[in-house]
Amino acid sequence: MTIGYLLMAIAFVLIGSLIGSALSMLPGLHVYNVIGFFLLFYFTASFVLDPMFMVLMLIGMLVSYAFVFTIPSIYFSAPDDSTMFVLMPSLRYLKEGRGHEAVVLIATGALTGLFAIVLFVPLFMGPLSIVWDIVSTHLHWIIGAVIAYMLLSEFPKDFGRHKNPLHGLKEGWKTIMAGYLTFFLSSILGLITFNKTIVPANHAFQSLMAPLIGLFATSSIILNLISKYEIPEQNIPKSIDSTPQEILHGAVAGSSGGLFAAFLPAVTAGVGGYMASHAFAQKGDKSFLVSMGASRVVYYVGAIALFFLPVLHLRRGALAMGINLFFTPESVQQFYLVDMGIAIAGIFAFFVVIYASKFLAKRIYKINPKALNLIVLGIVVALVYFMTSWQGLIIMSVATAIGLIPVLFNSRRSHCLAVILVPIWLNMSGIALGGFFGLW
Amino acid sequence: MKGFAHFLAGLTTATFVVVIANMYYGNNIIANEIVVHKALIIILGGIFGILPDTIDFRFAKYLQKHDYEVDMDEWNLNPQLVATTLAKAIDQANEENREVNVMLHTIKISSDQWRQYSVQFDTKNKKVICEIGPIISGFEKRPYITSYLPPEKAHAEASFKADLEYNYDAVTHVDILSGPDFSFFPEGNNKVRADFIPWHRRWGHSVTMGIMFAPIGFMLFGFTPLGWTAFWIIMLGYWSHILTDHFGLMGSNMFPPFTTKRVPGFKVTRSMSTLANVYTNYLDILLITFNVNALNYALSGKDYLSMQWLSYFGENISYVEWYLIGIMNYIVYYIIPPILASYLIVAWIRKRKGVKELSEKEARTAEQLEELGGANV
Repeated sequence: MTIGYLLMAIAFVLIGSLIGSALSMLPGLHVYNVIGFFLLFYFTASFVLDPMFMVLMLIGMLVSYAFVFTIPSIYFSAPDDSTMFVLMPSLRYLKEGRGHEAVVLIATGALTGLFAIVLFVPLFMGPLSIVWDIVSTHLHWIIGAVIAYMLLSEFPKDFGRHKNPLHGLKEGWKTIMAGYLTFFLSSILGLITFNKTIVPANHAFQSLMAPLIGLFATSSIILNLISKYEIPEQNIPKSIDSTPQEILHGAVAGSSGGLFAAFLPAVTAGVGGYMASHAFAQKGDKSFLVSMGASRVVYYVGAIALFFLPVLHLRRGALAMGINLFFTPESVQQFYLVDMGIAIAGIFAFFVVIYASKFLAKRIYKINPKALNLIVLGIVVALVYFMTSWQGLIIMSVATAIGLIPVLFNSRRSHCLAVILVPIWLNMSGIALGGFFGLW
Repeated sequence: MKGFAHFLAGLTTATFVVVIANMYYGNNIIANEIVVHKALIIILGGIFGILPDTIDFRFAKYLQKHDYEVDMDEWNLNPQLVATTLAKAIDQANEENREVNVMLHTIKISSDQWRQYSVQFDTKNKKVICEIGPIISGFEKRPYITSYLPPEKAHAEASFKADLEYNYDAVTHVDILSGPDFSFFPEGNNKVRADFIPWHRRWGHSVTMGIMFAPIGFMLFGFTPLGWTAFWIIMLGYWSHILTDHFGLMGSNMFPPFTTKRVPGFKVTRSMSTLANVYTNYLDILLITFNVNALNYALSGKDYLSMQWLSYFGENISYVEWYLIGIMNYIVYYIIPPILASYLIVAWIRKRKGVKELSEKEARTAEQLEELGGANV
């Protein structure tokens, strides 16, 4: 490998990071939604472009998305499936004028997650490969266990005031039943989405976009529109006033959760992150926000690292699958090149997040939150229409209605992830429910 | 323990049961069901491992009846009411020779703000002390500095006559979500025992309930090898919860209806301690991996972990011997060293920083309050 090649590689990582950072500022847009278009572009230009450069550019886009999507999640309250958990504490931070603090905590977590990937994944090549060999024939019950835990681990959030035991049970079970209803409806939506191509065939690779945006982003935006709140002037502190223990605790928990999610099919960063927060007995918002940042980066970026990891080559996530269409990782050298690309893109994206957050924090309070949310809703609806046509808008509307259930009844939004978990789990367990819903 | 640790402990138990059942029934009947026919039987371990807390926090909590409920709001803050009610309940339990229950409700101000107050049982001077605290912000519990009441309005005391037995530290804070409740039990000779959140770790956390749930295995799979395996998974998975909780201080009521009191725990750790949870989870994940490898080995003859000690014994060893030697090697090489090393590092850091170990009473209180927060919330 020549110096020139290395410099070109770095340049493509930075180009990808720039594009990824810009796109990630758009609320509702997932990097996976645009990767398809870049692949189409590459297939026509492949005779002039080294495939490794294209890989590095796509990795730059993914890494910057993993970092920069924190901005729309917090300032515009438009989360995706992996940032939905940070919405509650971060919205509280935003309402207290501490939005920038929340962003810095998540970005710090993301940076620790990046270090975990760059430094530790190469060290654990052998053990990861052994673990995969052992568990790969047991995924049906492992993912089933994740689902069972999601369903059983939510406890009532009532305030203990009830006239009699029956009334108490009714009050306490309101949130739980709302959660189960969300889970059930999301599962059906997932079964339909996975088994029937409702969006136009040429947009079939975007079929998950509309349900995910509906479940997580538009439902949050609608809640913001109907609730009364104002965004106060934001404080930009010199320090995040967090102890090293809080950061370390969050980083270790988040990285473990992200790795768990990157390793297993169907499990996403949100689920991995919240399971890890339970596994590490996490307490406090700061540690939680750090862990969510770490979990998200390890989930998205770790998946690509696992794909390039010699002896493993695990295909997880749309980017790994997309890259695999034109590229097969072969050497340790490629892995280290990817590792370097991840590190550069991550550090670049970290500074983009910090400066973008400072820029927004100084101005966001001047904007009417209702107007802001309406603009964000307009962008999201336009994106869904552009990517998936009117059929996608219908799916998004249904998904929004489902996504509003946990928001209105104060149950866990993670139940919405049944949209991905249940169809994949049923498929792995050999349980065919699609016919039951008249999908075949 | 946190719900996740219980869930994993249940899954671990299930993998042990499955490996043993596979050895017992022979011909890889159970391994085939799980790997080839995709049976989900192992999940039962996790489900019944977390079930005791689910029963307590989703059902038992609501079946608890209260003789008194103290329900203040921000405009009627009355610390005297809290102190007097608790003192009255203590004496009433003693005089009427019956259990008296008191519920202390939280004071909610907005969706994310609560008024904190605390109660303290001064057993020596026979006084209940109530202190109204600041308004706090949600789960972070940050106090709003300007929200403190003047001392004369914030403080109240009430005396009781009975001798109170209270095994927890002095102050109990009442702040977010639902408040704590106390049960006062007459113990004779002017003595009253106080129990914190009395509905927790009672019948739901018992050996008896594990036995009662176990036949569900037969309901799911009939009296087949899989049915018997499910029977043991459910029972032992349920008991794994009680056992792991027992490493804390609070303990559980093991054999209701034959027993009515919680048996104190082994006092090894606080059940919500981060380290205890992390070590338990680490141990569980490694044991699950070993057992899953053992199932694969039984089916395909492939041993991905290839433990060193096994090579000393050659290839002519039985599956049971392979399993026992392998797991001992695994524990010695992979489980004990990381736990020991990290424990020593943490102990060294704590010593260097001068972190004070909690007294038993303080640890007991901390555990109780953490339990009140929900084993999993």
